[in-house]
Amino acid sequence: MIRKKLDQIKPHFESGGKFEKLYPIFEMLDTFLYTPSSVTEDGPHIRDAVDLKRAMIFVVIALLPTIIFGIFNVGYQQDETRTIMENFLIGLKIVGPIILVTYAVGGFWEVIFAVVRKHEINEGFLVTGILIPLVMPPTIPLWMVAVATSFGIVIGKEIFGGTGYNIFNPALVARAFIFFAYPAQISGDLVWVDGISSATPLLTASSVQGDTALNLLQQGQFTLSEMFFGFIPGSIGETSTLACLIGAVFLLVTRIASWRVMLAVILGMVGTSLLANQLAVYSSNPMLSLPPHYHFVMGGFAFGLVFMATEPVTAAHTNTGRWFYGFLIGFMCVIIRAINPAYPEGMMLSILFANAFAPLIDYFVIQGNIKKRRARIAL
Amino acid sequence: MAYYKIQKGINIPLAGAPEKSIIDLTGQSKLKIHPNRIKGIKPKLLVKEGDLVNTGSILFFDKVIGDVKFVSPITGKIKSIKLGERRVIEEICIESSTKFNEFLKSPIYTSTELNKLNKSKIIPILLESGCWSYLRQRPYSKIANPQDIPKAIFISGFQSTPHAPDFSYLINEDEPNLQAGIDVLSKLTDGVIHFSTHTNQQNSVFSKLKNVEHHEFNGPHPAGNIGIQIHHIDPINIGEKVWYIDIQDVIAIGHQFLTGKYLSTKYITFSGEGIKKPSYAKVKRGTILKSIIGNNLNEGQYRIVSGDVLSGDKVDLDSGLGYYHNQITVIPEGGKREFLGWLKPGFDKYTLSNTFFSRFRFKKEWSLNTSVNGDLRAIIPFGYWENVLPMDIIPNFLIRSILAKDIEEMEQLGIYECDEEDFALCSFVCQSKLPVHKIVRDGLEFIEKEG
Repeated sequence: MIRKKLDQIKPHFESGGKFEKLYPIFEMLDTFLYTPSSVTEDGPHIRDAVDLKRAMIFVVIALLPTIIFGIFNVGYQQDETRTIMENFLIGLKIVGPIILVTYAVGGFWEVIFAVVRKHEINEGFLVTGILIPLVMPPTIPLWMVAVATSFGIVIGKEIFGGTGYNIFNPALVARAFIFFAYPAQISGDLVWVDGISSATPLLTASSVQGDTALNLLQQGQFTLSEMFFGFIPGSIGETSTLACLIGAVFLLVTRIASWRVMLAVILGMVGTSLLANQLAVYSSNPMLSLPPHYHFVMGGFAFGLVFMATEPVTAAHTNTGRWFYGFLIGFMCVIIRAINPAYPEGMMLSILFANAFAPLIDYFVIQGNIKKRRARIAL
Repeated sequence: MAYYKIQKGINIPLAGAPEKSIIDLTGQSKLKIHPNRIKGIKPKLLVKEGDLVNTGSILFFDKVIGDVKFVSPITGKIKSIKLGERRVIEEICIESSTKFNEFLKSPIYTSTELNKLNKSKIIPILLESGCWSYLRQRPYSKIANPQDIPKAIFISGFQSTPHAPDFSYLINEDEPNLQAGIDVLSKLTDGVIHFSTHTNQQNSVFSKLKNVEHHEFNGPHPAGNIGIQIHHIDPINIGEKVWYIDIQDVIAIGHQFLTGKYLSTKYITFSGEGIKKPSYAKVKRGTILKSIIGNNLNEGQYRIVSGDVLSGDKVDLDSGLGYYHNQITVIPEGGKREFLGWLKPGFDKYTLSNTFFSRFRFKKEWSLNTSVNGDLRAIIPFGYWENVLPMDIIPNFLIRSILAKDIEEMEQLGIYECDEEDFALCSFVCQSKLPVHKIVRDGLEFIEKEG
């Protein structure tokens, strides 16, 4: 039935039709509802069942635990005494509009660019559109969400040519944009809940010079398990390490995310923080003493590790490169967290930093490959 | 003997594997040669419609290299010659006649005499008998030039494509011909002849072969692709040329020298879901497909592929068997539009990506059709290509350099070691549905033209 209707209106969208310009929208709807009818032209005459839609929708599925928990936690942070359902509904009232605004504004830009540049509407937007709300603090004004999304989609992605061509992760570009453009309203570390701001664990742990991070966390009444399960203030999607890990397992089992990147980020973080722990006695900086497992559960580390660092387009494109790329993220994250007092949270910046370095990392890997080939002739 | 373990790649468990029994179909009377489907040649006809030809009579030759000749596999009459646009020769149809059964003969040698022959004697015989056309070179996969001296010659004792014929099963009595062919070929190169087998093959004939360097491969497709073997044994550097030849064609060369007669038969498999009883067959080269599989087809919409399902040609039943093909594969045509296909659990969808529930089923055979299963998208490097390409090549950046038409970078990244058939699996697994194999082919064609 729907198929018939679609086939009926299709001529209007094809070249020469009334709505020729809007073909990307028709194409999106058409292939969203039905698998495409195309068949192979020459060998290989058969193809794998996976396509980009499937891959991207799996990232969204992997994000579901963080979305659901994030919505609940927004309500929970306001009032811990309410029931789970009440908290969820209150959270939904805050988070729902943020998600809607992101998809509406982002979708608007995506369609504009698809129509003007005559390319298809890329499924990557499904993921970006949900990642952006998840890295926002719940109290962010909606207009700011709209501005950040516009910046992230247009500057972070579309000006490079759309999904597949971008250098930086669009969701992180959006987050970085408000982080730097509206520092007065948003520090990125404080989370406002109905006008009351509460400090995140990372800010608490770095608050007093000369003390140790674990002491400060204890004073701030943050326990390891609380931070692991995510009953802490923070951006909407990032608080629960458990939810992120469920997503990680899903992404690794389905092989959507690169295990190399994930493992390398963890190795980089653990190695660097252990080194920092050794140096802690020589300094009054409390963050240096934070052990690796605390780094893991605090702030956006787990979220960035699972959903941001593994984004294939902005990561290194070679398997060897992925190791260096991941390690750089883990390393930079601890360095920024521990040594730079201005930004207690380092994950976002370290990933953006590694995004910028990914092409350089790949360059060296390629040069290595070329050298091997050259050495063969010399022999 | 050197041993190579191939880790990356996949044996696609395509439904309709051939049974190990050989049907003799050499009595079929009609066959077709398709000069336009032989890569890199410009054919010049030497026969016209109505001419009578003997087995081994020259039908046409290649204007590019000049001396490479193509001969008739049977004795009979040229029934028709079909020209396409710009007078491209699309097909030469030959019908056998019982009145004539003449062989054009070349000199006969014993195996000891063969070893004393030199290059200047061998090349004219190969050219005149039509056997030279079996020798192809890498890079570019075109017919070898008799003026070149290749670095080495590669023969694969196994094919790893889905439903490929098992040569260790077929080649037992042909051992003298195979050895004679190898002896002949060894005079053409200053290097050695590399002969590779698969660990799973139990064939004493292969291990007894002399005058070759033995290599044993283990692992899934594309381990049987000659390009992968060359890459692991002795990779091609810039400016170098190697030759390769199908094992059945080596036997034909040996046969030519030992008997003086053109060997027009070869073994093939016909398989796939579209075939009622898939099996092996002995056929004449160029036999039209209708007479091989015509009464063995299932009802329904099927695609007929001359060659294997990964790199063969899409043909119709009236075509002749492809010049270098050892397989006929018949698979269902796809293109059916499924409602919300991307959301389905997909218990019946074959994938290597772990995104469908089918991965939990251990089925021996999977039904695969010709659906692309998605739309063309930008390169998103999930790493699927790398998982099926057992080469020290960075596919992602090689493909980009080809798309950017940057010859220097293509060379640096090793395009001369590549062939489109080695990248067929990359096209198969690509979630963005990029025709990776075609991009590689275009890159090689571009270099050949510009460089």
